[in-house]
Amino acid sequence: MKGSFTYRLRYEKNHDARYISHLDFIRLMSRALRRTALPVTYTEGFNPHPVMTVAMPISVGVTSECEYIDIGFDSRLPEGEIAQRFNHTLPSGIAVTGVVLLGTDACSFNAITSARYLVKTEMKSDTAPDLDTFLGLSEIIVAKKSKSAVREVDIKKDIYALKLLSHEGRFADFAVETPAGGSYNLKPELVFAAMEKYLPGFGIAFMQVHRLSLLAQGKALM
Amino acid sequence: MFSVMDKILMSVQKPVCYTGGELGMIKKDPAGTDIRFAFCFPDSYEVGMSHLGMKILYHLLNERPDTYCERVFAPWPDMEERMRQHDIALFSLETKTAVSKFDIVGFTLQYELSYSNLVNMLDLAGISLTACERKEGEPFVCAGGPCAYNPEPLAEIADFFVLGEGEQVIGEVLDKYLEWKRGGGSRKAFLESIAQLDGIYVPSFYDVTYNDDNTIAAFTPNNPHAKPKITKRIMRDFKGSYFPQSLIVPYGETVHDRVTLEIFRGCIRGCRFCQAGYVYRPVREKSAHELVELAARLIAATGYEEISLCSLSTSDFTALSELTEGLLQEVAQKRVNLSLPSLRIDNFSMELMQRVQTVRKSGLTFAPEAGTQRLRDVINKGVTEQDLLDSADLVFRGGWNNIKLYFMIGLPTETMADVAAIGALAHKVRDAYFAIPREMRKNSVNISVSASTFVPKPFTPFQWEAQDDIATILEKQKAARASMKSRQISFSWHDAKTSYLEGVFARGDRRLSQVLLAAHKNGCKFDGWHEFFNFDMWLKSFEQCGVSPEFYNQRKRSYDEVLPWDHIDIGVSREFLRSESERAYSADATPNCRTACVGCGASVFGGGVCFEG
Ligand code: SF4
Repeated sequence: MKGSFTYRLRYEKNHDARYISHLDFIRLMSRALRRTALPVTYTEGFNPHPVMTVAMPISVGVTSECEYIDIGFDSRLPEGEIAQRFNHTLPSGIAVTGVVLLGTDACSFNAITSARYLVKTEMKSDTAPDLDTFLGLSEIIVAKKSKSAVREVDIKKDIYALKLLSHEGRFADFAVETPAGGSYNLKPELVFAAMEKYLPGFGIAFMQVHRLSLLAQGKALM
Repeated sequence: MFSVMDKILMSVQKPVCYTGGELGMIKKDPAGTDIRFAFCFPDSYEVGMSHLGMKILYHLLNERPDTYCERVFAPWPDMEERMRQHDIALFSLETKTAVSKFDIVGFTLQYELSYSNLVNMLDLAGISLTACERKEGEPFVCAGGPCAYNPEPLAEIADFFVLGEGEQVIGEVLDKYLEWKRGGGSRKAFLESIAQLDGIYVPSFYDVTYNDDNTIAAFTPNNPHAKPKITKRIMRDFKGSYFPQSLIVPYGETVHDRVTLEIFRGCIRGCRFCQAGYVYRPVREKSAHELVELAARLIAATGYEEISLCSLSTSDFTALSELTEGLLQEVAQKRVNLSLPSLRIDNFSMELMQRVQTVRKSGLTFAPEAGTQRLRDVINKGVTEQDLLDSADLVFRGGWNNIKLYFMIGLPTETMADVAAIGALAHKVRDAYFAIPREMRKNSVNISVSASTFVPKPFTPFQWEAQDDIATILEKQKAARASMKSRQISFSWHDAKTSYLEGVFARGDRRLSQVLLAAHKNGCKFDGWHEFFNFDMWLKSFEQCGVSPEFYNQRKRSYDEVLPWDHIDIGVSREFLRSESERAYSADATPNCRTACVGCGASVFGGGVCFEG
């Protein structure tokens, strides 16, 4: 990051903003940045663009209260003003909820190790899944897509947490924690796919994933 | 717990096309407004949101405290399928209100191949498809835009049409609507009240009779409020005319995702194939000063990274250097790009383009339109071969090595020799590259030639012409292709069947409304999209209705035939068009408005280029 002052912004992506793809979102943020008229640092070269990095983008359809973006500015700015200018100009569903100036010791996005999610589901039946049985399995094999191929992997060790939060009729809410980060990532959707596979009678009709936090070695990013 | 819409949106290709809520969207309390206006674009969100006219009217209508204008687009077929499955009626993006609940439903007609989408959208909205079936309490359906200059194919479908530039007249329509709504009259009473406004056409107030040969015998008003001739509306002063303070910035990328500055309306040139060159007459400009201010304001409000100029021919803007100087300063400051389409190549524009980097990526475009000088004179395209080669020389010396050449196939009087000359011209342009000193050349040169199919349009000197049949077009495309023998020249062409259908509806009459309804029943939609266009289904629909498409597109009309759009007055006179048609046959060029006014008739509007000197 080249800007002399790098700020980390935490923002939420809710409601209809969840349908914005990562690429569209980058464009949206750089336009919002131009609208704020803040002294952002631009890259050099033929086609300059603002110096900014987005942490661990979520998939289309997932809501989140813990998205992060690092932005370089040419000068020192009051944190409150950055947040205020953004929130004045962001479309509905996206809001900046925190801003910090990054010091030299700041944890980079590469240090992210896991993420916590709230998963609201509509099940195909009224029976809640037997999580003890599921978590007690000796191995949990699912087909996992990587960039190049689909591979059968054992995700048992990757389910850091899986709890039933509430259950009423066909609706059940779960808390899930799985690995997240550049080197290894497991989407919570796959944990539910595995439950469908191993727990007879359990099926998901619809689910809504919400990311609660991004953690680096168990600690929230900011 | 989960709404049906949540579930649907997770399962379609582009959910952001249906959510609304973008930056710049107008939010109002519908309960606090008297008129709800659904502005409908009969194509996808990405296409519709790129359209400048819609942006202007959307914001203009919403300036009225008594009106809430909301946007509606044609759902992509994956979305439509789910909407029909779950009984979800077509809704507006702003408040997700069913379109059938609106007071006025207005469509903009940008191209003939979107007509089936218009019918499909009415159907999805649950609104009666034809004006005569529409009951009290249903919305009024209206249409405007360039295709509305021949409204007849949609005559049975729309309740009324807005002819010309909607900016003024639409406000008058809304005033009449309020009066009518408060007074509580019949649908017919409202239509009668607006039929008296200039620029408003109510098709049901006219009867058409036909001759034995199917041509029109007479076109007569059947209502005392209906005018015998309907004159288009324009803004006499384009300088200082309304433009929104901000624009909606879509979430996803649209076709034209940038600030577009309309620098002038109309065109001074009078190419004989070009409908826009006649219907938008006379040319009216904005001032350089207001455009630069507008650019600054819109970049600040939207954050867009690009500004593009929009007009029929950028180089004809009288204060171009003042404008570009101002804009270049503005874009350097805000770190945005400037794009300058349809610029004539000369020393001024070359220097300009060296300073504007976006052009570098895309290469440069020329539109000679025809391969021989004779045919270029027929169509009044005032470009000589030497002009083109001089420009190519400048372009190559300037460091570009990509040139696009646009041609038309099927022009009136065209012979196979004219077609073969397309390739010859492309070769000469290529040779111009090898004629520049070796050290100025890049690694390679690339000439891409593209040929669209000529479709005769109403209100042009070619409105009486027959369109080439599909077999002839295919043969000509083949010949054009064969005339290009270099690896450095690539050739692309337009689908002949789409142009065939476009030709039918462009010069159609009101008997085509039934064909449109039949085609809709047969599942035709998104005809402008290759993957959905079903030509056989269209042919079947014509057959079912006993209507011959060739009657409309492949028949040469005599000058005294009553044309379906003769009751509409665009200012440019029929006599002028006829004399231009005759001049075309003798390959006589006609000067442009600034060289010498030829008295086309458009000066009746009392403004613009006609009164410049
Ligand atoms: S009246 Fe003359 S100047 Fe005006 S548009 Fe017609 S030809 Fe051009």
